[in-house]
Amino acid sequence: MPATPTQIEPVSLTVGGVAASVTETVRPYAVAPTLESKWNTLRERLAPVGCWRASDVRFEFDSSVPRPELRGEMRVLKRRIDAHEGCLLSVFGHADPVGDSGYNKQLSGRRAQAIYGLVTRRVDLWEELYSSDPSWKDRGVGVMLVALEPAGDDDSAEEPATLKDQLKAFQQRQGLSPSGQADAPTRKKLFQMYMDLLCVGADDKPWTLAADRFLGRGADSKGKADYQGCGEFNPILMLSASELQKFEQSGDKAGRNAANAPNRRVLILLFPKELEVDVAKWPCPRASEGTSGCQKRLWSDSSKRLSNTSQRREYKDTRDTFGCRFYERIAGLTPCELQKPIPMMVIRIQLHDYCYKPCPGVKYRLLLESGEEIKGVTDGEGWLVQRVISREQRARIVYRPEGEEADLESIAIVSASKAEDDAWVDRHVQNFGFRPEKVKDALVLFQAAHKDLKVTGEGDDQTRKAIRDIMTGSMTEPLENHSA
Amino acid sequence: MSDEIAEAKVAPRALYYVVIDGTEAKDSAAFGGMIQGKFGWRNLLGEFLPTVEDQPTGLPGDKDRLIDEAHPYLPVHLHKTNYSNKKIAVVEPGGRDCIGKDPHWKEYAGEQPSERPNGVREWKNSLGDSFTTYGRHTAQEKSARFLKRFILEPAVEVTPGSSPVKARVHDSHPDLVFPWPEHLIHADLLLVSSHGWLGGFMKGNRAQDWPDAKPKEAQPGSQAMSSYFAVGEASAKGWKFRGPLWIILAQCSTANSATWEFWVDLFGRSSPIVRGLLAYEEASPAASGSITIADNFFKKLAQGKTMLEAWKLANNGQNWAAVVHKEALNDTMQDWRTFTPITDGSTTDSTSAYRGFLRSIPDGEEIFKKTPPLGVMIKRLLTEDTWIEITPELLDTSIAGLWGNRYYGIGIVAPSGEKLAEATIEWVHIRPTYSKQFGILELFARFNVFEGDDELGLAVDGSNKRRIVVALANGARDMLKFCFLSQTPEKLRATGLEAHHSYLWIRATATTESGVTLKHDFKTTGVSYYGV
Repeated sequence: MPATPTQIEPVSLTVGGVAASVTETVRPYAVAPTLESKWNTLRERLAPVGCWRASDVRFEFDSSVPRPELRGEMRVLKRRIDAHEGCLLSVFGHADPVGDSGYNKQLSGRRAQAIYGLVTRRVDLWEELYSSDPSWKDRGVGVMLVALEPAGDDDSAEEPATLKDQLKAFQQRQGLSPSGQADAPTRKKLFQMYMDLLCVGADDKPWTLAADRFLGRGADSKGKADYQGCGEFNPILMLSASELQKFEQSGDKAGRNAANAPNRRVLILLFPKELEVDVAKWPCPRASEGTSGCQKRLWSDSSKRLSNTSQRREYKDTRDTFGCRFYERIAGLTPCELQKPIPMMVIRIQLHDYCYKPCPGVKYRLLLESGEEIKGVTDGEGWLVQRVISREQRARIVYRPEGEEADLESIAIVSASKAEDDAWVDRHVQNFGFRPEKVKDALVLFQAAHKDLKVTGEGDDQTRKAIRDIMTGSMTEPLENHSA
Repeated sequence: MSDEIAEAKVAPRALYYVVIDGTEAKDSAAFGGMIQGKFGWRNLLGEFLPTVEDQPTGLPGDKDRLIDEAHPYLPVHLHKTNYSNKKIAVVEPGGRDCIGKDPHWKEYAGEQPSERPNGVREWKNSLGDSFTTYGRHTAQEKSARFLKRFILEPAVEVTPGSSPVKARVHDSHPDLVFPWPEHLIHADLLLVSSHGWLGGFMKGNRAQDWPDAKPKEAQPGSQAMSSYFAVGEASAKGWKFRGPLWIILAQCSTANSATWEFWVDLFGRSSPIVRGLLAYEEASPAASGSITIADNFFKKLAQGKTMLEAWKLANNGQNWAAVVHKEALNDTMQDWRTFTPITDGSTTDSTSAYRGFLRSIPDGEEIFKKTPPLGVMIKRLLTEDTWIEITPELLDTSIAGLWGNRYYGIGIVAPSGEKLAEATIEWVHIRPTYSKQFGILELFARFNVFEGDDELGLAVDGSNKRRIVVALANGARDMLKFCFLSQTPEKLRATGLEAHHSYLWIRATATTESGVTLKHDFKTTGVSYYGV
């Protein structure tokens, strides 16, 4: 019996992924009557205790380069690993069913390798990817260099430096020969630093796992049982034939790719620490190998499962889109594969300084409760616009208004709810900065600060109008305290 | 289906400050203008207390007065400053501009029926001594005494839902019974600008003569007997701060190596634990100089300097002081909203949570509860055979006063296991660097041994007339005791001592039987001169 996890929520959702613990699933053993002298043999099932998924949006397009935003999902993964003490991991990469199956197998395997290498700090595995995946050479290196730039170095108002300039600056900072080329020593340092940037816990400190924390325990030099690519064999969404035809007829490749995005994912399954597998008998081929090993494990009706039928099919509803029976057995009942599409919302937050003036063109870091961190620059009126999971979000925003020598931090509580109820009043009043130790004091503070309101302690009509006026107009005039 | 949209406008968390000024208010108003302008802080009392226009009182004049119906004697005014277009609310316990001529005090008649119609009030201390005040003097005394509570807990009580909304300055007196306020809002930062003394107590300006005041007993100038705050008293009585994380004292002398121990005692049990104190060890600048320093202070803070660093740099050349918790050494204004709460502020003789900084100790030193190397007791003879010891918590009472024709007993106590053969006592006026110092015989008519003690010799030090030398003819003792008789009131007045300003304390040295020389400054057990 798998040990119950230490205190953690059953499911963690982030913009780019999901993680969950697998609650005990009673799986019946089918046994037949036997002779008195014979015994039925029951074998401990290969059943995960937890799962984690990173979506396609966390990789560069059509690439195995992990994007900096994966950091949030890595925080979530660490929490999940810690909750299941000693658990063993196995990484599964998936591609969408468009294009060559051999290519898809390779891409999914490379993504799995990228994640495995990240967690174990195997820079050599990333070197392999650099050598074999063209997207690492230009795009990948560029993404990493930008993510590792010290704060304040790049000015969004200027033209970005060339890749060569960025490399030189990096090399100079790290004491490397400033060749402006992504040579071997530069890549090694770059990969190491980028891995430490991405693979962090809730405390922002880097973490890593040894090879023996994976299912194959690092026994195979090519990672058998530790990481593998499933290619296009296990989509969670199969478009209908008509949907696919529409895309093809219109030539809308971008639309088709976007529609297939849910299929492009990387899953990590967490297994009990007691589990032992014979790597030699592990059914999945190595990440670098072709699809022949997968073929042996496909359902007999896999061609039907993997075809575009008259209806759109989603695995969570029809349970008939996975082609590989082995994968379906171990992952098919995990929340990570059954998770409904996460509703998203667009958040627009206008940042203000100490004197309630908007902050246009400033860099910010948006830190969501899920652990995700999103960076950006506000627009010409000080608004940040981002897409996040649709639920009430409480975020920290770190930014530096123009002229300030240090960052400041504000809290934003955002909700898509349009009801102007008491929660709406509380939310906005706290967002305006009135966040005392006792939340019940917030409204009184806001009313006292507002130049036109009386302190009633109630969310009366005048107060609600004042909030609406601030939201549609200016915060500066009614609240500013200085007007020098 | 397109995504829903959620909008918000955010600003940094609002922070609140209170300024109290017992001298000229322009520096406090400037401070308020600067902290509002540079960092968006809000003035707690200015935010909540109604003006006379909002809440007419029927009392005369002063449209800039803020009304606190629970404390009508307490002047709180709005002041203009060049540093803001908004007026800044300043608590002025000495009346508007602290010259005692507050319009609301002109014919102050008191609140209690027993005080009416002349605002008469008799004040008694624990020894039964009493004095009586009238009119504005009563208001002045009440304001000073109220500050002892308000400085500890600078907060506003707000009870909305009534018309007009009830907002008043918080009063934590245990004997008061008010309905518990619906909202109690504390200040995050406190500034007190006033006079201060090495003994760790603070007072305001003396009120000027006011021929228009009523009744006539209230016309002469006066000084409140009570201090605004005495850190020795606060420490001894187990008081604590509630609310402020940082405190700034723009006043002379109150933060020095003798009072550090009292400050950290208070800070460590406060809620939240006070993170730091910025102050002065000796003379602090007057109002205009303070404004320049405040300007530099806030400029440095805006550059991201820590509270401590900015204070040091702004006070270059001044005898500044600071007491800062070890976890608050890197506190900046920008980080204020994300300070990690301090959970342990305790100080013992072996554990230290705070560091003390002076101009002479710029890198600071750990503050421990220390036992002085030798002891000095000062006692005052109250009746024929009753002596009372002057302790830090009595410093702002008449007990710790230098009165004419009074006996003061001095005891110099050897450390445990030692005996004393010789000692010197020097009376220091205000601080060693203060220009006006006094010879022993200017202050005291004589000094003599106690009856029957022929072994002890007393003599004025020939090289320093402020010092007497105490020597034993034979052997050594655990304690050397003798007494002084103060000069007559007339002679004391003639010396140039300043009533309600002069404070005298003892600098002692002693030589043990084993030849070790011990020294200590007993800054927190001195006597104040009241002009009588």
